[in-house]
Amino acid sequence: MIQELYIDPNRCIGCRACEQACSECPGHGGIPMIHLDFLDRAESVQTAPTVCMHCEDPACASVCPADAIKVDAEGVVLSAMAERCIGCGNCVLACPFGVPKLDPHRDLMMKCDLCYDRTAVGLRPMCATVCPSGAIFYGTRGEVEDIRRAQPLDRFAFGAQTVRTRNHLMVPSPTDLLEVTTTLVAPRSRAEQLLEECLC
Amino acid sequence: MAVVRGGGIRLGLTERLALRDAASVTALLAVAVWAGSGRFAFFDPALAGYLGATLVAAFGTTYRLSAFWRRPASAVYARALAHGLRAPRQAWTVVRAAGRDLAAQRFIARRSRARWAAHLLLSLGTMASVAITVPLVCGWMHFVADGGAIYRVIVFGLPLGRFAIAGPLGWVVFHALALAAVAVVAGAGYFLALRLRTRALPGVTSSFHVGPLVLLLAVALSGLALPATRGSATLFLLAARLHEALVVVLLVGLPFSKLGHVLVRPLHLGAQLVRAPGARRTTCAGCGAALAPVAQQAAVERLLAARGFRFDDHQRHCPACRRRLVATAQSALLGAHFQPRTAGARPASPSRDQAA
Amino acid sequence: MATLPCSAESLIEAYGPHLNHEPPGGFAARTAPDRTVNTHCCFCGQQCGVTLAVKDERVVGVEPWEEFPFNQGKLCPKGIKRYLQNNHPDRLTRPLVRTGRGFAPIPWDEALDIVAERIRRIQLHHGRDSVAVLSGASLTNEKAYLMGKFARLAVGTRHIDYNGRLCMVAAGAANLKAFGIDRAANPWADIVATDLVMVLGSNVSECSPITTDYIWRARDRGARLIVVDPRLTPIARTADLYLPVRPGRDAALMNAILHAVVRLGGVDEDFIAQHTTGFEAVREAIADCAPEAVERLVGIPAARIVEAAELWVQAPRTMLLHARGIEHHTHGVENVLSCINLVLATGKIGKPGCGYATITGQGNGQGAREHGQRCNQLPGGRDIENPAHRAHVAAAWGVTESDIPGKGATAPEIVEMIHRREVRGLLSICFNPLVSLPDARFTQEALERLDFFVAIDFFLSETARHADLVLPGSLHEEDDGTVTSVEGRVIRIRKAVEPPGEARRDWEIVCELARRLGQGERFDFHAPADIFDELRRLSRGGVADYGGITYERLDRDMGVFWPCPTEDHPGTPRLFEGGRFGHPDGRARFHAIEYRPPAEDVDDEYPIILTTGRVVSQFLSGTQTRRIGPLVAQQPEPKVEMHPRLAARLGIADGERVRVVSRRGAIELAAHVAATIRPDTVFIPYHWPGAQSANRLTIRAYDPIAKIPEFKVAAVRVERVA
Repeated sequence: MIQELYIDPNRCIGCRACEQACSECPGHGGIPMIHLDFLDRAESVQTAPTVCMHCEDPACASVCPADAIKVDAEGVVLSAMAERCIGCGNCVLACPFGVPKLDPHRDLMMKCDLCYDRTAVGLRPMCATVCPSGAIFYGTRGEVEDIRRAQPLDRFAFGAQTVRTRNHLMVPSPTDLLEVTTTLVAPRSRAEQLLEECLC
Repeated sequence: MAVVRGGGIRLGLTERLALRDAASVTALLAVAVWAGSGRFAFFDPALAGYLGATLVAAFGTTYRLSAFWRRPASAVYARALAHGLRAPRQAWTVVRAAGRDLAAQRFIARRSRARWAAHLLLSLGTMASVAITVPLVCGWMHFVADGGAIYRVIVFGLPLGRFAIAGPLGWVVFHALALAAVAVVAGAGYFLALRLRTRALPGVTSSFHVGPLVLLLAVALSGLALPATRGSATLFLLAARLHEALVVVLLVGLPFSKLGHVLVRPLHLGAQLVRAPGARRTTCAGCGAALAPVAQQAAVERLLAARGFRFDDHQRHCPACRRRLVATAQSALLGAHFQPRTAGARPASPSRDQAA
Repeated sequence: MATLPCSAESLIEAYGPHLNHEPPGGFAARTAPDRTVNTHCCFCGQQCGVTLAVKDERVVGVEPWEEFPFNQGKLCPKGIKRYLQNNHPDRLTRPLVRTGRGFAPIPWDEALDIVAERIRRIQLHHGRDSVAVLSGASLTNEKAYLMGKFARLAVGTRHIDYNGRLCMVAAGAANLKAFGIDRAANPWADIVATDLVMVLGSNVSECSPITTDYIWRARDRGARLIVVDPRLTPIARTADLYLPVRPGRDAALMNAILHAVVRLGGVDEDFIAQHTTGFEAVREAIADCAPEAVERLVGIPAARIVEAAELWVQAPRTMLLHARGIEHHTHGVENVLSCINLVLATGKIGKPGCGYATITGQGNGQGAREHGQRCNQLPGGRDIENPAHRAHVAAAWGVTESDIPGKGATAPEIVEMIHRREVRGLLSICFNPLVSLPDARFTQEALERLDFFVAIDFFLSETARHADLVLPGSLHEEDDGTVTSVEGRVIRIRKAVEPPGEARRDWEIVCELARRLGQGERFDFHAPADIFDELRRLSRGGVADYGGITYERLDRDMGVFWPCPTEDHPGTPRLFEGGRFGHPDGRARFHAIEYRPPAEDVDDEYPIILTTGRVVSQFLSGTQTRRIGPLVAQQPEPKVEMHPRLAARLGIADGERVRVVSRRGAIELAAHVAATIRPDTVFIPYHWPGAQSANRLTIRAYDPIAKIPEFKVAAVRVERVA
């Protein structure tokens, strides 16, 4: 069975263990490839980790002028080859998940490549190993379905575009397609509503 | 794009143009050899193997370069570079950038200083060797003894100058190749050692990465063996044959090996022009942050559209907002998930693992 | 005099905190380690297993230790970057003596002679108890045990206490009163197996991140989650029910929930009759605590309180977890007892997936409170005022009972005695009271009044800057030993590297001092294992019985839960099975709790409640974590968290500088405006010193029983800085 990453932003506690662990990985010393974002800190503590989803048809690779982004036999979209990458940032603009980042100092694109160095020798990616809340899980689809109530999803709609990915996002019930709209306002959780009704 | 259909191979426009370019350049080179060597009068037949490989390399390299730069994504930056070179005010910027990032390769220094030093030795040593040997192989340049102690230099049949064999210039002329070879050995040796030290990491010692290093190292070492084996005709012949064979492999394989990245690097200059600090930028539809140069954003949208991607307005958000949009969409689905059913509802249902 | 020997700025210049960002030689130079060492994180009470990578006798990185059952490789950012405290430029490597211009190196022998001579001279003039020892709960069991023995036998003072006084003591005292045993009643695995998790006053996501996964695993099985906290913490965000309690009103809330439970008929009369005493008094005490009567007081609509009671009654199995949020109060013990009352009244304890625990905060918060470095306690969790206990320990130590001093003062009381000049000399280890005690200006005054102060430390903490002598001790990874985790699981700490330079292992320093104080033969230890052997033999028959625990067992079984009286005993992951409690009659005790207001309530002059706590990237007083670059980068400075409605009323925008004023002092910080805290409350994390110290605002008011300070409620006003 293929092992993949399963991301559940709802479990995320924003501790940044994933970033700190990612920065320890050999190959990109000190710089994390994973993203950890607050959705809207003024309103909520909700955070979300984002790793490369490893698209079936990666938009980043399709716009690379240096043909530096390769996909390996297992469908892992690799980080740009350093000797080719010209630091143009096309991939940053193309990726619908907002994953690649451009290191302007080194003119180099950097992104998560599924801890290639670890997974190839049977270790789990750093972020998924350390994540204290289980927001980042690495394993097979069967494993995650056994232990979680949430269900894995691997198809996303951005505008008119449907994207299928190797990694998964966890959603509450079997859902075929996550429609990503352009609204940035998350619904209030019940707890957030209960805080509003507290008596002062 | 090459399309296989009905048993035959039909070439796309890009390939046809690239083939045209490659054929033209190779033909021009052949003519130049014929003319530059005084109709082969100065051509050294012992170098025929090298010449053949050079012609093949010229064809392959030109084909790769032409085809690559005509790819829609690459063409954006190739055109920017060409445009920059034509515009008087940008040309100087391009030249300076070329000096910095192509000749001095400073962008590698910003990635790692030790790698930069090693890469500079490796690349300059290789390019110097090419610059010295190609005119000799093509018969464009040769030396004529002028008495016992003086050499005359003949280029394209014209006397260019003379130097004393024992003088400093003479020393440099006779040792330049050896110096270049030493630089290549040092550079390639560093990278090989680095790869061996980190060989536990997957892919680090793949033939794609290690092959060219070993080949360059072998070419340089066999080249250094030539002067070293002068004393023995057999050994010298052996070294000469070996060197020739290795160089032929290197030249023929050049455009398709890792060394082919040389063909990509000039696009770096084009990217710098597009991303120049003064360029007008688009802003994120979500947070209003500066996103990308207008021209680049438009180019990427065109490229994506050509590939059939239709991200629509999502594309107008910055990467951070795109990540938030995905998480927000997930959150919207989960919103209802953790609401208690109704107060007074049944206790939690038996768990999955108990049921199992 | 123990004022600073020179300006704080020049001390910071010389001894930090500076930031360490990378392993030795940088990330690029890091290659395969020479060896790896399985040990535990040096920070909080979760004591996650972690593997340290060692290269050239230096700790150069971490690797998750996936085989360790508690965290299975999971780590928070502190655990990942903890290795950067090793090879740190600020590390103390030679004994230092105060000079007119700062500190200067001094040979070990000379330094140790001075300590012994000064201690004896002060005791000669002012009595044996004029010298005090302050210790810490990040020390191993071995060192914690050693400090208690050292203070009482070698120094001969009754005044030894530790910084667990700022952490665990309210829960500990309440657990002892109610159950007769002070330990988490259940192993963490029981959280996963429960039907309802109720978390009170614990920002689990930041203070014990690994526990988050246990709660989520329970929720994956269908369990509900109730969170009680004035701040909407990450774990609270998705809770089924969130009760944003007004700080300081926890006992009133718990009484109301119990009232509603009684009303719902959710009381387990059989359990109460068979296994407890004292419920009738509780029933009476909560009679007028109806949710409707207290909703204004606790700040939560009555319907939500009833909902909590309903969820509690409906769930066959429950796990109640709490932490400092309900414990850091002048009625911390009562808050805890009010929680225990709910657990006992419904009989929800001592069963798989069903029970109760306090979430220990400090690294060895559990073990360090069991073996005699507390002012009222002797090893094995024994009572220093119980003659039988005293006789047992005296016999084991080879002294007469009268040689063991009596009960001493608690840590905050010791500082007050220093301020009153009743205590003149101080030896401290593993404690940074200048940052961690309330009313920091008072603590500073006290330190400045000491005649002699010697600190054992690995970095020059803000407190150690006031010392006459600083002895360079050992970091967590430089010594062997054991600690006891949040679950009551005794585990092995393994040495990865030697202390650098002239630095020595803490226990070697303490034993050497004991020799110079004339007690060498009682401190003839050659390895931590020797100390552990003495400790475990001595603990046999006590409450915290380690008698059957050996290093070999710990290595083999990845830890043993105490009590474990004999070597063939399997250990005790779950306490109180079958309703048998730790009191001699086997019954648990109810305690009727009357709500009392906090020591300092809000008024017109100081109308806002200040509550303090932690952030995920820092630990306690920050002596270690404020020196680790990537952790500091996560949150470089403390901010005042406030609700947008409060901010709007005060005319404050996010990021603006504000002054927070209490009756003790004022500090200026940036405002962090977010709708994730009650509008009547502001929050400041406490890890920072000096002008950024939340403890310049907090009040020196203590729980009457546990003497834990009221960190969680102080009255302040907040002003815009013009």
